[in-house]
Amino acid sequence: MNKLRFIVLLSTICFTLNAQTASLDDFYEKYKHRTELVNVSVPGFLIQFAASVAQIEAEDEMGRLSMELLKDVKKLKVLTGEKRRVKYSHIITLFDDLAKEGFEELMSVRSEDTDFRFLIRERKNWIRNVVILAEEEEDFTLLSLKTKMHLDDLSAVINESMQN
Amino acid sequence: MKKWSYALLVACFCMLGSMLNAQADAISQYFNQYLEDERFTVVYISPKMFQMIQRMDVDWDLEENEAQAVMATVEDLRGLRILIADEDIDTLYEEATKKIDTKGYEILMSVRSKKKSNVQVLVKDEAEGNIVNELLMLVGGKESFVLMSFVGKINLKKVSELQNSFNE
Repeated sequence: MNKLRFIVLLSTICFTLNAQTASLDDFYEKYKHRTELVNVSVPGFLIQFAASVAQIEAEDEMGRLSMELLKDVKKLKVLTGEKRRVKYSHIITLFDDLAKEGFEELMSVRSEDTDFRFLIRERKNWIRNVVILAEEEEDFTLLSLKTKMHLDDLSAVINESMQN
Repeated sequence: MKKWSYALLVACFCMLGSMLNAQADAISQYFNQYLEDERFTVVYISPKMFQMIQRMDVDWDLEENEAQAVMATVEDLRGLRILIADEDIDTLYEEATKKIDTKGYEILMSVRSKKKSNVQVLVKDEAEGNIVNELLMLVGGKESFVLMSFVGKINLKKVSELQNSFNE
């Protein structure tokens, strides 16, 4: 009985974790094999390694803190290419689903040929996910980050940049 | 009796709907079509951004009393929308001033200069007068037309404290 409970609990956790970014995963799944688009996925350990090396080389506090912040990025995904290759209805669905999954828009800018949207998912001062969509006249870029970034760490970088 | 209950319920919903509509900001109320208009650049800062700014421990290079006053003012802001157009400036400015219902909004300040530059600051406030629900700025400049809408509970006392803290 205990084993069964454990399996149910584990499955629920796995399902919940998976469901957290299901809409992003679905979107990437649709486009990641398209040769007309560039799909880059950088795992967290590589980002942390690069950040650690760069941190040693950092000449000032600002550089050091920025690299420390970069270590909080657990995964980076970028999908970029020609805008006409991506269905507009898929983008609309993606953003509707992101809202349902608890993503919140921080800001957006739309002009004649540019569309920029910046969303995050945050809980108790921890930023868990970041999504940036940038569309220009002909280009499309979707960047998503899985993070474990505390607002205090972000504040420290802003404070340092303001002092310089 | 049942019919009356339904009628009452429907009436309540209608009232609630009209109340919510009355609370809508000027851009949603009068300039919704501009949001999709390609002549405009539209910037939107969400309430979430204001909440995060408030929660972040950022040293804004201000004196302590200034920082406190800024944060006290920011805490009740619920969003900022900016619309900018670089063409048809005069027409857009004229259209905007005509569209805004003067019963809902009061002109706080208006400037017209020789260089064909017009500025109007309007507010929508609550009955007590100390709380402003929206601060709307219309600028019909030489090079662009700007419509800026701050939405939230803007406490005029806090704004004056902010002004005082910078004057000290």
